[in-house]
Amino acid sequence: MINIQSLEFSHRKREKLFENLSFSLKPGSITGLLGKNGAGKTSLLKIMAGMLFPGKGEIEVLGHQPKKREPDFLKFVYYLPEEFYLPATSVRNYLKANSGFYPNFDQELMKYQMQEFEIPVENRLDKMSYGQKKKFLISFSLATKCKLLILDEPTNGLDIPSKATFRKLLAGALTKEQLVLISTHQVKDVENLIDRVVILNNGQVMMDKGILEISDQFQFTSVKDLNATNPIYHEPSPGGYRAILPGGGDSQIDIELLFNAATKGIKLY
Amino acid sequence: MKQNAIFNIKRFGSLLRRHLLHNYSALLLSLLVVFGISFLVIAFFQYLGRNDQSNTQEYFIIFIFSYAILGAFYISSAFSSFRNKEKAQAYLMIPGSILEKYLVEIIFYPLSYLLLFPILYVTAYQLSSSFISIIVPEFIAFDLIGEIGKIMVSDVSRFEYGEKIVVGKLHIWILFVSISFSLAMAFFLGAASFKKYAMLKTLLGLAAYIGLCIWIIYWLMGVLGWSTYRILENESYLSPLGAGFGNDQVVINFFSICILCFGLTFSVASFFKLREKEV
Repeated sequence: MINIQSLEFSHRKREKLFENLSFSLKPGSITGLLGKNGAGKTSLLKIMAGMLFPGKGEIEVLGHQPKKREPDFLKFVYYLPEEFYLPATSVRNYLKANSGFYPNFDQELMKYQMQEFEIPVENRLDKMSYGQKKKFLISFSLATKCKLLILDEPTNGLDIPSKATFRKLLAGALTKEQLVLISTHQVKDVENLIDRVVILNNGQVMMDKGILEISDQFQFTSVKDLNATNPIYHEPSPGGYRAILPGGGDSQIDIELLFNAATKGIKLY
Repeated sequence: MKQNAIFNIKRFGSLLRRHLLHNYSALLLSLLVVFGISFLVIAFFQYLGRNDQSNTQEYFIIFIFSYAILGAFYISSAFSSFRNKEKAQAYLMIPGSILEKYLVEIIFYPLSYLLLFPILYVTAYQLSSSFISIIVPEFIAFDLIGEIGKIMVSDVSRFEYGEKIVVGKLHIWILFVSISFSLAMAFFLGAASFKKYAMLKTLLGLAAYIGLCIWIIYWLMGVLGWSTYRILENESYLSPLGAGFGNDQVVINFFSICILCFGLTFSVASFFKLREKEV
């Protein structure tokens, strides 16, 4: 679905953001794209969506070159940016104006999701709060049933119940043909949702692994005494340490810890 | 590339509908504002002028100036999505081809303005004339439509034995249309190219460009002496204007086509600007 080979990209007059970046993603997954501030997560998402043009390298998304922005590509890709725009119109008009562009748009799903998010249908979009607007766009993006959903910081601005609803709706609305790419700093919000982790650091993909693969090889646990466990990586926490230990287990993956270990240069693989 | 990727009538219809549904209040408001201001300005001058205004041509001059000034403002606001990063993202991700998006902008900005403004102005003029006739019973309105008609298609006449004989028609409207179109496309290109102060930058660009053209013409005609060059009858096939400037319609047609070419160049350039947009 997404195939990137030797990608190079730099913003004008700045040093290279990506150099020789390569990775590929297949459908049927919710992938978390993680990286520090300025690592280029949003730029990479925009390159995939065709809003930024790479300097060198090959990029193929759904069999298309994104920079051509062909309608047959765009109708199967939905990009939800962190900062977004909604016109000064009603929910009803927005749906009338935009749903027709997406061949798999599910009106019933849209209604259901709006009910779940408690979005008032009669309201004008420009009169809604930031969180309501975001929930509306999340609902819209899931209802498009696009093959590729790109969500940039989707949980920013959502209240706690809405974050839970978001997880529930996202997990329930996807099919095997879809790929969801989530870029976020709020890893706790998507920890139980993602089944693949891609970590970007210094213009490279530092890690690209499935959750099952990670849990087969590492244990994420809290320990009181480091000497007894010999962890690969650890961080102090109240009452002891959070640690990554070698060997698989049934432990819940601590993505934040994994991310910190990877970006601090700990060799995990 | 498949034809469907370039243009699809259903998708184009959806893009037009989307533009209307997102902007209907702004579009309606601008129509009302243009009509209202035209009506008030015309009514004000008609009331001040009073009585017989059948020879007052100022309404035609107001029309020309307001057509140009309002047009510059309105058409410079095309591609409004590119003035805002978030709007640009939403716009670029709409599943429509570049040609379809470009045509939507052309329809809602230069074309609709070029066609609608004269209709609104003339309607406002007619309405104002009727209104003033009620207030001032001796009021005789200036025949704006007739005057526009006379200017756009004027008579070519000559005097024979002290009598004026109409020998043909001069279609000036061709020149008017090509100038209006080209100026509109220049502002449209400005709107596609500049993120900030699009109108101001386009005006400066146009001033510099027209200045350069005038200087080149002066240099060719004055300094190199092209103006004194006379084409012989047997060489006239080399000249688009023929052997001389005898036929005004030929001259008008020639300059109209030249100006139209500029307009078409501007419109192609704005299409390419849209294609290369990044956010």
